Amino acid sequence: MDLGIAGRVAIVSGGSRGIGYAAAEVLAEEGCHVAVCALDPGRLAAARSRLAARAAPGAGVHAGRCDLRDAAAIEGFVAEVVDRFGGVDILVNNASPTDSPSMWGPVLDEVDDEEWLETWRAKFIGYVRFSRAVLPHMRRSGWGRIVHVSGMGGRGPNRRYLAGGPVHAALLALAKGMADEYGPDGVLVTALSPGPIDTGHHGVILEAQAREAGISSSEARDRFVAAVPLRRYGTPREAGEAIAYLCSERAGFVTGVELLVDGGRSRSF
Amino acid sequence: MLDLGLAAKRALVNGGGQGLGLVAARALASQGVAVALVGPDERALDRVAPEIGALAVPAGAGRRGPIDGAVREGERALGGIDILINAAPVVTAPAPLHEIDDVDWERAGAEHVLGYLRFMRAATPGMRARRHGRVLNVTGVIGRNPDPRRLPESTAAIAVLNLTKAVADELAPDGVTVNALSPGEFTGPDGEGAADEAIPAGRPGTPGEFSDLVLFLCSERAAYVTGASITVDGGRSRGI
Repeated sequence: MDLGIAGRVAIVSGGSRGIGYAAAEVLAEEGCHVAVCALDPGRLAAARSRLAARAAPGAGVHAGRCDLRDAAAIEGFVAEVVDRFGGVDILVNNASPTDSPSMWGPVLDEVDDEEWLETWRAKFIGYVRFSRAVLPHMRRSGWGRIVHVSGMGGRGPNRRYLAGGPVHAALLALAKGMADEYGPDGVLVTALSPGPIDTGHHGVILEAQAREAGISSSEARDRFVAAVPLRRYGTPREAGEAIAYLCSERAGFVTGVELLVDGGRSRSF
Repeated sequence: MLDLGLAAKRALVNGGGQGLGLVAARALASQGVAVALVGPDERALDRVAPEIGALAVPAGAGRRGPIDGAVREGERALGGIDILINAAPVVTAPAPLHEIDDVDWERAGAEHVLGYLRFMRAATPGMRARRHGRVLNVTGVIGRNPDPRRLPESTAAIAVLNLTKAVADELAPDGVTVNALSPGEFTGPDGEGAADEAIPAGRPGTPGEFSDLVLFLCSERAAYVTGASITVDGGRSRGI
């Protein structure tokens, strides 16, 4: 399937690894000019080389450090991308502080207010800021795609996910509201909620669950996988391909929705 | 006649100085519930509290210290809190996303979502110890029906629904129920609502139509209802 987006300019936040990197890789293979940002300079440099090796002929690759807690840094990164590639057509909002063990674990009595606010600021407000920075370019050209990478906790609240869950839910409403507002300008906004994807950071959650249940990490993993209808973790590439579809010409009538890539794990419909 | 079993219960109403928070507080008081009103506007609280025989507890919006202090003061004055009503959703000026300042996004998270969490965290240990409690989180119907011109409010509202369900799971074993109410449009205390074709019921709701649901959810009759988010909007919401 030709996604029809060769020559489009795509930004992927948190694009140095995991789902973000996989999305950037698929977009680069499809001929998009791809700009990734992240925090770790070493991982960014590695991602840039790998992306350059995978990119379709003529597709440029840009990598830069950007902290989502810093509005000026986000605007600066978008300006660099516009300078280099002439605009922005696609934004994959993906960067997340999910590495922090504090994302998973604290129940009501244990919530640390500053950590809670940090999650709201770094992820939710970070996505808002990136959206705000790219929207003028997309509205001017009359074509745009924004994908907010959310998570399972949005529709599936969990008593140990009191910061991440509400943030993921908020992102679903953000996608729907932005889709209404910017649809007339040709800007399509969706959410993608990855389920259990084998990126490494799910290990933190499994270890916490293992401790709580008094079992080993591998038992916790087996139990977890048994509740996934496809009986396995997904790969970052599978999430990346779904993101690329939402960013593509093939998804031209798809906006305001959430796409779950979770092997059937979600219990709500 | 349904016996609600509310007499002698004690309620703290965050946002009880006005609007639907006051409607809920008045209804609870009418059932014999001892009520403390919490809000940022001391003058408004002092005006309405005597009307319904309630205690006024001023507390700044969205800051931890004052919230913990207000809950402690409410517990001390009432002798404990059985019912917590969070009815202080954030309000921001209508605007499209590209015109909204970071301050409003920050307030949406800090005041509405984290604010409700702080009240729940402060008020529920006593409920758990007594193995009985009711928490109602009132938030806009725009959580499930995002309004593109009120996105800070919409996103915070759905975040509160998520939080409600998560906390309900945590507290259910201790006999504390946690539910969310999403009211649509309601008339003021005296006003008849003008006809409105956008609402299947043809009109805004009356205060009593809101508070009857509040009383039911706070009552013994609703002991098995938890983690629910209930819309009371005359059928206006689209979608299921």
